[in-house]
This record gives sequence, C-alpha cells and structure tokens, in this order.
Amino acid sequence: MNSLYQPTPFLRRDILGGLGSIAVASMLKAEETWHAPSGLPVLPQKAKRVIWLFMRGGVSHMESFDPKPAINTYAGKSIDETPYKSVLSPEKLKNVRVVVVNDANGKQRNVIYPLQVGYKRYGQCGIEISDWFPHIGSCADQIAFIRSMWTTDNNHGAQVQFASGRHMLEPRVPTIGAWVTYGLGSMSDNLPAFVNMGPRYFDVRDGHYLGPAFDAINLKVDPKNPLTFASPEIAVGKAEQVAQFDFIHKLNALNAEQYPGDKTLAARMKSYQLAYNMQTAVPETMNLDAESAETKALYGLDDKVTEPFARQLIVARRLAERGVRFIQLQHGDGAAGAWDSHSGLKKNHSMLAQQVDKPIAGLLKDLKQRGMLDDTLVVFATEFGRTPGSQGSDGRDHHPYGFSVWMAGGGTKGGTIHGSTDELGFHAVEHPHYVTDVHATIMQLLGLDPHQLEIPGRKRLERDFGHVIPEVLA
Amino acid sequence: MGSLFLDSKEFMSGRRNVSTASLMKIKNVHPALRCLLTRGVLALGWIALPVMAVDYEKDIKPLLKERCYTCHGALKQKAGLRLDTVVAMKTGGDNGSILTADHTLLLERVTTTDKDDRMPPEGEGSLLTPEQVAKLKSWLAAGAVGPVSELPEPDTRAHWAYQPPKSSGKSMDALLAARLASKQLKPQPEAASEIWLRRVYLDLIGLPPSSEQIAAFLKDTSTSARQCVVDQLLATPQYGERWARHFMDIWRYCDWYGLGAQLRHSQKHIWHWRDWIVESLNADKGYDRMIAQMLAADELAPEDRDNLRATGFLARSYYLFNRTTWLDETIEHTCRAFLGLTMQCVKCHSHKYDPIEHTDYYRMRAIFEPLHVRLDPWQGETDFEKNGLPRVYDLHLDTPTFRHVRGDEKNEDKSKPMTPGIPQVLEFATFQSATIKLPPASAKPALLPFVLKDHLSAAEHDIAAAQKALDQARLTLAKAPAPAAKLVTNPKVIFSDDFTSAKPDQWEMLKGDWKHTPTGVRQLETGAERRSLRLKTAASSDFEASLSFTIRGGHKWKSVGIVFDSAGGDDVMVYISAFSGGSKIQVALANGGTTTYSTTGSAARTISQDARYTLDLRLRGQLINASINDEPALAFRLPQSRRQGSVALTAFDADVEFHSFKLAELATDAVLREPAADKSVPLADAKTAVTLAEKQLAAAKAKPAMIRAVFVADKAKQDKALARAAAAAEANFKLAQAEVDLTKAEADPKAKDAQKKIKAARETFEKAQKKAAAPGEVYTSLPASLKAQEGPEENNNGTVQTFPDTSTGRRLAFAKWIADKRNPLTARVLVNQVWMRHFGAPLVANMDDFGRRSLAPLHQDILDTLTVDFMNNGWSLKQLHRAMLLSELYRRSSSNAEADAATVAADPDNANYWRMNPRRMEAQVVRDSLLQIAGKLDLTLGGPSLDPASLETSPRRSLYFTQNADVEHRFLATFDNANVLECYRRNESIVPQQALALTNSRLSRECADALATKLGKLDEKTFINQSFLTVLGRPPSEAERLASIEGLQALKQNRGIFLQALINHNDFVTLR
Repeated sequence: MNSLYQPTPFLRRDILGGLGSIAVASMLKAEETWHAPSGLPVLPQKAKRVIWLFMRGGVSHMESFDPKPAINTYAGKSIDETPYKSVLSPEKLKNVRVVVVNDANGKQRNVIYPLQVGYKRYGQCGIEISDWFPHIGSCADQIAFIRSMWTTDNNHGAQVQFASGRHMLEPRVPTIGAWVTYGLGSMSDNLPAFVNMGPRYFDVRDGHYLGPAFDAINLKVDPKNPLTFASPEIAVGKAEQVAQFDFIHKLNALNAEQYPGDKTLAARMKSYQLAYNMQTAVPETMNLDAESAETKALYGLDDKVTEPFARQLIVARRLAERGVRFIQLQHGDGAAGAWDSHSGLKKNHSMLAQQVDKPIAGLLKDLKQRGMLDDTLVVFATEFGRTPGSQGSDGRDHHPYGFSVWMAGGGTKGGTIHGSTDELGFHAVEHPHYVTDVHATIMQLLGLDPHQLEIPGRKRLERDFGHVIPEVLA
Repeated sequence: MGSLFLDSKEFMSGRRNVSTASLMKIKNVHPALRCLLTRGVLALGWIALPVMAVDYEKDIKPLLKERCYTCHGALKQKAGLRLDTVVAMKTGGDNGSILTADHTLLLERVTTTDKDDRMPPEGEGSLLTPEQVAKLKSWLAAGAVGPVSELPEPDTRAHWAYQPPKSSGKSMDALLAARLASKQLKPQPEAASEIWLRRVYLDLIGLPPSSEQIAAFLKDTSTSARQCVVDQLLATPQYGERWARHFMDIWRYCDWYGLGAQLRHSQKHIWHWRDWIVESLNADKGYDRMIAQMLAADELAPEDRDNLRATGFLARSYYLFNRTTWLDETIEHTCRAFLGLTMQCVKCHSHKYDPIEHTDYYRMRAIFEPLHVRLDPWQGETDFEKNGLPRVYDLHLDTPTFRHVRGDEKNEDKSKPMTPGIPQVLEFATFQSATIKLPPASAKPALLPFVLKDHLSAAEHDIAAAQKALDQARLTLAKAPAPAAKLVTNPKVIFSDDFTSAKPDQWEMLKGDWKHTPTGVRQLETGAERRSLRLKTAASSDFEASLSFTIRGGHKWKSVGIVFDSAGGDDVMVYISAFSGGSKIQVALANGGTTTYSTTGSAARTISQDARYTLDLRLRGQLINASINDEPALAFRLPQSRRQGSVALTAFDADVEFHSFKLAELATDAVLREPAADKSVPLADAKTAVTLAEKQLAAAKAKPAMIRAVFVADKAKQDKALARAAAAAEANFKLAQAEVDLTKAEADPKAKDAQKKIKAARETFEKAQKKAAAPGEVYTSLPASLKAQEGPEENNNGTVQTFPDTSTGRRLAFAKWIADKRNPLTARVLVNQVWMRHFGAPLVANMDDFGRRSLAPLHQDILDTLTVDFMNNGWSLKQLHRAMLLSELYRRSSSNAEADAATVAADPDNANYWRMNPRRMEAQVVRDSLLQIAGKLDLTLGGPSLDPASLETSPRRSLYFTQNADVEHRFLATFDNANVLECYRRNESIVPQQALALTNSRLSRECADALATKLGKLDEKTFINQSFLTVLGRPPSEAERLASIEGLQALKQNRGIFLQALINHNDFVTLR
C-alpha cells in the first residue's frame, strides 16, 4: 500500500501549536513587538521532558518526606502547650484564603497528633524518609527534596493552584504543563505533546487562554480505548480507513490549489497526519507486551496493589521515550483526592503509599538505567500538607502553610534537602517557596524563561512567574 | 545568595526586588555587576558603571511609559509630575525638577531602598532592573537629551472610544473601497454564488443550505435574490437559536452546577433565560431593550413575567460561597460584555490605563449590592425541582457598600459608604436612581394569579392519586390469600416428635451442639455451617411437614429450616432467616457442590429472634408451598424433578430451640398454590396498606381547604379572622399529615432506627393535635418562591415567602445608562461583536477592551457609521445583519488565488479586507450541520436543558444541552466549545482530535451513512455532484470529480465512507 497514511517514525516538532489560539493571533496585531515562542529553548536546556506526579488530596509531609520527631514529643498536647505556640500567631496565618465559608475542613487543629509511621535515613545523603516510602528512599541520592512549600488555598482548589499558581477564587490561567508545551511544542509527529493520565482535579482544562491546543490530552492505559475517538466507533476495515485518509488528503490538497497560502488548511492537513499516526502510536504505547519481565517487576506490575500505578508509569516512560513533552499523572480518585486523610490517616496513607512507592522508584531506576534520567525531570507534588494536629481521633486536616515536594533527574541535584519547616512541621520557615517557584525551576531546566512566554493582553501576576530554586539545580 | 531571593510572602504582598530572570539577563551584560549582585548589593545607582550608548526614544521613553506614565502621565500627575516629555521632567513637579545636574531625583527614587520613597511605589510594580537603571544613568550622564518637539500623551478623555460615534454618511463598501484605493490594494473578486449562500446560511441559522435550496438560489436571477434569502433566513426561528448561541458565549450562559444536590453556581431552570434570548432575537427586540431587561426587568416592568426571564443574565453569576465573588463576576462581565470596559482591574487599584478610579469599582458594586436571586413559580408547576423562574430582585435594600482596600474583602474601608454610580469619564448625564414601588405579587409571589389555581390543581391531583392508591390497596386486600384451608381428610402421619425426650433411634445427629431443654431440643453452635438432625424415617414423595421453633441467637444469618430430598450432598432446603440485613423465607438448592438461592424462591418476611414460628411445608411433585404461622409465605416450583432422599432439620448460624416436628403424607385433596398466584401481599400488610391509604386520602383532602384559606388570608393582608381561619386549616392539614407519617412509621417496625422514628412521629402527631386544638393566627404562606441560599449555612431560605415591596432602582438606572444612545461604547462594542462573527476578524481587536490600550481601529469610520445606523434603526440586530451580509465585502472571495501580488505582500493579514476571511465553524455548528445534512436534525424549539450524555445520540440542536464548568461534551470540546466562565471570542484551534472526532465518531459515521441512504441510488456522476453540494455546498471541480471516482474505487464503492471523507474535507468545517 503506497499511502501517506502509514505510521511514520516520530519526527521533530509540530507546527500546530502556533495556530492554537485565535486570541493570541489577534493580539499579535495589537502589539507588534510580541513574538510567539519559537519552540526552541532560550536558556541552556537540561531537561527535555517532564513527568509530573501529582498526589491528589494532600500528602502528609510529616509522614512522607519531612519527619518531625517533635510531634511525637508533644503528642496529645495542644500547640499552645508546646514551646512553638507562636506558629498560631495571626500574622503567620494570614496568607491563607478561605474558599468555603464554615467548612468543616481546612481549620486549625491544635492538639498534636504523633507521627503514624517511623522513618529512617536513606542513601549516601542520609535523608530521612518515612517507612511508608522505602523504595523512593532507595532513590534518595537521585532526589532533591523541597521541604518548604506553601500555598494559600485551604481547600482542594489548591490542586488547581499548584498547577497554575492561581487561587481557586481567581480567574483560571494556564497550567505549568500548558506553558511548557506552549514554550517548547512537541517532539513527536505521532503523539500529542501534553498528556494526562489518571483522574483530573477540579479543573478539566489546562490551556485556558492559550487555547485548547494546549490542554492535556487525556489518555487511558487501556490499549483498546486509550483516547477519545482513538479508533472507529463503528467498525471500518483497515484498508478502507487508509483509503479514506488518503482520499481526504487528496481532496484537501486539491483545495489548497484553490486557496494558496491558506495556513489553516495546511495545518488541518498536518493534523490529519498526526491524527492518523496517533491512532496507531497511542495504542502501541499502551501495549506493554514488549516490556521485559524485569522491567515489569521493577515497577511492581506483578503485584495487584502496585499494578494500576505501575502500568501508568511504564506508559509514562514509553511516552517519554516517544517524544511526549509533558506527562501529567494524577494519583488518587474521588472529588477531593484519595490522599485526603481527614480520618484514618494511618490506614489511608500506608495503603496509598504502597500503591505509588514502588512504581515511582521503579520509574526513577528505569529512567536511570536507560540513560533518560539525565534529561527527564520527574516532579512529585501534592496540593498541600496535613496538620500537625489531629482531626477527629485519627486524621489530619488540610495544611497549606508548609509541605514537601521533590524533583529528580533533568538537571536537578540528587541527595539534596532544600528548605525546612519549623519543629512542628507547621510553617515553611527556611527558604519558603510558593508553588510557582517549582514552575520557574522546571522552566529553567527546560531552557524556558517564563517572562518571555507572557502574552500581550494577558498580564500575569508577578508571582505567576515564580523564582527559580537554585539550590536544587545540579 | 539567599538574601537576593525573595521571600515568597513578600512578593504576595507586592514587594519584589530583583527577579532571577533579570539576573540571568545581567549575567550576559556585565561580569562586574553580576559580582556585585551576588553579594547582595542593591544600591546600584551609585556604583560607577560603564556609560552605554543610550537612545531616548528607543531605550528610555518606552521604559518610562511602561513603568511610570500610569501615575506621571496623561492619566495621573501624582506630585504634580509628568514624565511623558523630557521638558516636563526638567520642569518637574511639586518637588521641583527631577533632572537637575547635581541631583537627579529621578535616579534616586528608582534606586533607593527606602520603602517610602521607592518608585514605583510598593504594590505598584517591581523595581527597575539593574539593566534599566544602568540605561537611565547612561542617558542622564549623556545629558538627558530628548527630541526637540516632543508631544505629551494626549488627554485620556480624548480616547477615541470615549467620543460619540459619528456617521460618515457613506456605506461600508464605499469606505472600504476608498481605503483600498488609497493604499493601492486590489480587492479579490466575488466568490461563487453558492459559496455566498453557504456563508449566509451558516452565519444566520447555523445550518448549511440543502442542494435544493442551492439550486433554487442559483436559478433566481432577480436583483433581489440575495436580499430575499437574507430576509427568509432572518424570519426563521433557527436564526434566533444560532444568534442566541453567540450571545450565550458573551453573556456566559451556564446551567447550574454544584456538589450533588447542592446548588453552588448559577440557578436551576436557567434555560428560561436561554429561551428568552432566542425569542427576543427572533422578535428583533432592540438590543437596548434586551440589555435593560437583562439587568433590570424586575424594576422595569415587574409584572411582565415573560421578560423576567431575562434577569437570568444576573442570576447566572450566583455563587453560594462568596457574595463578593458573585458581584465581582457580575461587574466584570457586565462591563466587558456590554461596554468593552475592563473594570476588573479596578477592584484592587485605580486603572493603569483608563481614567477609572478604584472607588468607581465600589460605586458600581453599590448598584448590585442589594441584589439577590430567587425562583418564582412557573405557571402549571408547584415543584421547584421541576420548574421555576430564576430571577433577580433587590433584597438587601440598605446594605452599605464599602471599598475593599487593595481588593481585600476582609479589609473594608468603613469610613465612607460608597454611593452607586458609574465612572466619571463615561458620565454623560448624572447617574440617578429612584426607588421603585413594586406590585404586591412581586413582594409576595403567592399572590400571582396562577398560584392558587396551580396549588389547587396539584392538590386535586394528589387527591385523585390518593384515591387511586386507596382503591388499589383495597383491591389488594381483597385478593390477599386467606389462611390455608383446613383439609377435608386427615393426612396420614409418618412421624411426629415433640422433643420431650431424646430419640436417638429416630434422629441422626449430623453436626452441632444439641441439648434437651424443658421446651424442646436446642442447638447452640453458631457460625456459617449447617447443624442438622436427620430423620431416619423416609418421607413419602408428596408430603407435608410442620416445624415449630424459636430462634435464640446467631452471629448473622440465623437461618432455620427443613431439608429434604437429601442424598449424596444434593438437597433442597426451605428455611427462614432472621438476618438483620433482611429477614426472609428462602428455598436453597444444593446441586453438585453449588448452592443456588433462587430469587423467585425467596420472599421477605419479618422474622424476629425469640419469637415462636411454625414453618409448614407442603410438597406435591415439584411444587412447594410454605406458610409461616398459618399465613402463606411462598409458592415455588423446583426447577428439576424430585429425587429420593432423607429429611432433616437444619440450623445455619443459628442458636435455635425446636419445639415440635410433624411429617405426614400430603392429603390428596390438599389445594396448593402455584407460584404465579403468590404475588399477593400478606393479609396483615394489605390491611396496613389500606389504613395508610385512607389516611393519605384524608390528608390530601384537607389540603385544598388550607390552600384556599391561606391564599385568601395572604391576599387580604392583616385580616385577623382570615388569618385564624388559615391557621386552623393549616393545623388541620398538618394533623392529617402527621397521622399519615405516624401510620407509616408504625407500619415499618423493621426499618433502620424504627423505634426512634415511631417515637418522633408520635411526638409530631401529638404536637399537631395540640396545634389543631388551638391554631392561633400564624400560618405559612403558599410555597410560591424559593429564595437562593445566602450561604451554605442558611437553611431556612425555603420558608421565606415575602420580599421587599420596593426596589432601589439602581440597576434600572445603570441599564438605562448602558443602553443610552449617548453611551459611546455600548453600540460600538455590539457592532464589533457582530462584525467579528460575520467577517472573521473584529474591527477592534480586543472584543472586551475598548479602553486606552485599544488604539483607534483602522476602520473606525466603518465601525462608527454602522454604530450610528444601528442605534438609529432602533438597535435592530436584523437590520445590522442586512447591512453586513448584503455588502460587497461579504460577497468577496476568501482565496488568495490570482490575487494582486503587491496587495498580498502589503497586507498579508488582510487587515484592509481586500478579501473575505475564511472562518472555522463553531463546535455547535459542526454538530448541527452534520445532523442537518443527514436529515436527522430535530428542530424543536426551547425547553429544559438536555442531558449532556445524550449529545452524541440526540437529534436536538446543540444549544439545548446542559452546559456548565462541570460537564465536558467530548465532541463539542474538541471543536473549541465556549468556555462558560468567559468567552468573548471562540478559539479556532486545529488539533488532531478534531480529525479523530470526524473520522472515528459514531456521530459522523452515522450521519454519513444516513446521508448515503437519503441520496438514494444515484449514478456515480450524480452521486458525486450531490455529495459535494450537500456536504460542502458547492459542486466538485473537475479535478475533484476525478479524484472522487478514484476515491470511490479505493473505498470499494462504500458511499457512506466516501461521504464521511467529505465531512472531513477542510471546507466542511469552514465558512469559505
């Protein structure tokens, strides 16, 4: 079959992004000095792609990557009875913005609840990590932990905030994945530049004013049905489908003679090529038959508990290999997100940690053994931490004042701890970082300058740009 | 280098030092400077720097414009200072010149670390970068040279969009032609007639023309042919639907959403507003009237319920959790949609570009401060879940508005309440609102003329339903099975035991812990396993058995029964179970190691622990009848034939005491019930049901009297006797209702917390009795409105039935100001919106910002002429469409083919409209067109929003499906559906998902196949011709015809797939 519509090996970058947004196009006329990003890095590029792991619901920082022995010492006491009662001073609490008035959650919890898990030191760096994350612990020398994050939304709108930098009550703006895709475009002719797996947060979009072309495409790990309209909903023979795509191409090519220089027509023809390739490339990426038994075991694909996330992470690696720029994975179903442990924290966190710990460590090890960790940035994040005080008898509430995230690979400095919370794990005190600092760091590693991505008429707030965290850079 | 990096909290409060990004740039500029920076030295102005060659126009003026003009330019002159000319800087302000040779205040202020003196001030932007400071310094060092005749910024009030539009008196075509001629640009010729026709159809009704309509148009050679088409289309109801969708974008149409049943955003039944938009457009209601009705129909004509629907515009922004968020959205989008005014900037500070003050925002908020939302009744419906009219009204008449300092709602400036008003720059007349007296039914919706009738008819309906239920209950009672008839003949007893003594010769103990008690034999072992006593005597084939027992305990299942036909592990067991999760009688069939629990062999029965039961079984062949305490409980036919086997008594997870057992041959004249006949309800239940139905009927009958009495009392107002009568009627009804509830509770003693519920129902009933004895004069009005919750904690909103009898009139005054001919913005903004939708590019690029950042548009003469004509034509949209669609420009080809090369080179973006702009169809038009060409589209108008899940299967037009931020229509989303939060202009993306949607969706394929069927058995040539006409609105070119013949061959003559390929043609989704 001599057809245009044969799957092609993946090529360079895609031209579609530039036509993504009419709003942007119209702005061009308004401000002549502005130029759409070229798709090339403007700074030295360390990372080519990002795998973004987001734990929905709020991971307790104290029981993951920021163990706090003091809360064992003062267990059962109220914060006022500890030497650290100043953490509750109104001045220190003022940044948080209440979303839901009189919400039962998102309140101060003043009776100290002890650590629900032990912790030990890992790796040459000797970083302390909770016993719920032993596999991630075994990768500690590859990881830069940031223990001094803070945010302002005391509810799960903070998920949107972590991705975009804007509070739930403010207008929606593009997420970090959209900015990265906008700035750098795609590296594949067969796959979208920006994908999402797993549940989404409150916001179903990413591109916002950048346009739908910069929304993540939702993929499912099911090779039979990985993508909306991925395959014909009414069966059609393979040969006929190829003939149909060829015919469509022919017609559009003839039309191009009638409309010379029509950029949208050219882009549409190109989009059909990519669409056709995606139909093959996406299911092929989801098919793990070619993965070795060792690889599967490394991620925990052979274990019922770890299997679902392991499958997504192997797919993430395969997407990364095939040129996808930003791979967004969200863990934890439910409206608020499964990690939201208002009660039964021990049971909840130990179970969820088990689901993700080995697969994530497997991903880091697999990327390393394939030489991909050098230019693949892995980010582990969550919307906020959890209160040092107890909610009910055995839970912790939302805690935006201090929490932890980490990054690995892609030009980050492994075996690093940056920033800290106070003794109770309450406030980020040393090197506090707002969520967009993580974005700025990612952009820098990718060779992007967030200020250069600003679009006329879409004035961004100063904090939207964030500040690079140099201490975590290699 | 920690100190250089910002404390994040500081930048949240607006203070920012040097960004990393700017450091990066500096790295490339000067190593010495970088060194200083890394040591944290910020006072850069006083460090000797190499003098650079700096140009004022290129390097300095843009910097000052960006960072300083807002406060020291035409907009404002803080400290009496302007920086927009060098002369002005040298002249200086209140502190004298800022450019004196010995003391350059300019440089000092932008480099100082003193918070009070720094420029720009804290909160007004970041400090200048070291690079910028270096440039300034170099310029100063070189003598601060400026151009000779530098003009200051023009007066902000002189901004073009703030001036009244003036008509040129010429047609848009004449104006365009003159412009093209003056620039030596050559316009493209007319497009083919059929391309014009498709444009007009898609533009006006959102549906493509049929091949017949194309043929008819091509045949019509009269000069009025085009005018006729436009007029015809404007007269179809589909015009209103098409253009309603455009306005639903701009006005942010959004169905309600929330969490579960909790309404958090917008309002239920907001679709009434959508229908109002469609109808208003079809009626060609003036745009000025539409604005007035959307903002203030309740004040303008409170009794005009039809137009109250318009206020859905305001109800749509309702937000449960935060009133400020609601009002912010209202202010922002009212101003952006109608005025192209960006008021949102002014929430926190005075406008950086436009002459609008921070306080203007709160003056505008004061207009909306009293606003609230409620559902009024919809004629013919009394249930607000099913229907209702979402509308706004003034509730908080006296709530003052305070300025939020820096936009922080927690920080109100209480020193001065804000008076309602509008920005002074647009105040062509004094803003004046006057209190409006409302008619009685506005304050008390219960008095609406149809409310009494609707409530009475609902009550009558309830009576009829209750009567019907009672009739049915009585019928059921009549059919309830009588106790099993006594037999004529005495059955021959095979075995009998009253368990007064152990009979090991008769019974085989299979498992269990069996003990004799004074009242029988007791099995004490519990747990999920059978404990059985097997009878050594064989039963006859047909038999009857009777077992008396009391269940004393068990963990969970507490099952006791009779096993028969037991052989080789197979058996049949009939048992009753006191399982708390659902007690029942059940037949279980054990066959080859699996046990099945047939659903037809099962019936729910109330079985209690510690109560004595007698389970009677009768077996004739495969038919089993079981009774419990002489009441028929089950009739079941075994699915397999009987086999020989023993009989046993069995306990399964039950501590049970057996009192007696009797086994006899079945009497030949015994009458057994068949399973089908056993659907009847037990006698006792049937009796209870009748009692309940009687009480329900009585309650239903008490209701009309209450409704009438309450209505009369409401209407009379303050009449004590009528109030007493209403209270009495209400008490009477409530007593009857309480009796129903009590009966219900008592009838279900096994329900969860039954005793608690019965107790509560009894208390309510007793209270109702007392109230009925002394009803007083307080009564509840008819539930004729549903006030929106004023916050999640408010839970008595449903009881509020009386509202203020005046309205502040502020919104009406505001609406009149917006929709005034003297307002320079409103009609211009509208004309620009319509123009963009007909010509693919707006005249003013920022659809929602006509402020100073929008320079005077290239075609201001066209915009202004159309605007003046539009207002002079009574703000008629249909007239505006005519003006645009019947223009020469609208006929022009969109192709570059054979265009004048100089024209293409001079104006590649077509800023001068030397050709038409091609446009991509909106998501709704793509879907509706697919259904239309397939002959499937259902043109039913209006009605409640449709389930979004049915979007890909329903034939209704796309605007009718529920749309909110919570639902994603996968087909529409692919084609850039409107963002419900903000959509002044649709995106026109081109992404591969669109290709996948049109090639792989069931929708596209089914439409293609349906079209293939519709076209019928045509010869190939005609088929290809008709296909192109129907799908693309034009015949194929010769090359396309040949390609189609080849294509059909490659597709093995599958015409459905061929047509689907045409649907994927770029021109199907394009307005050429």
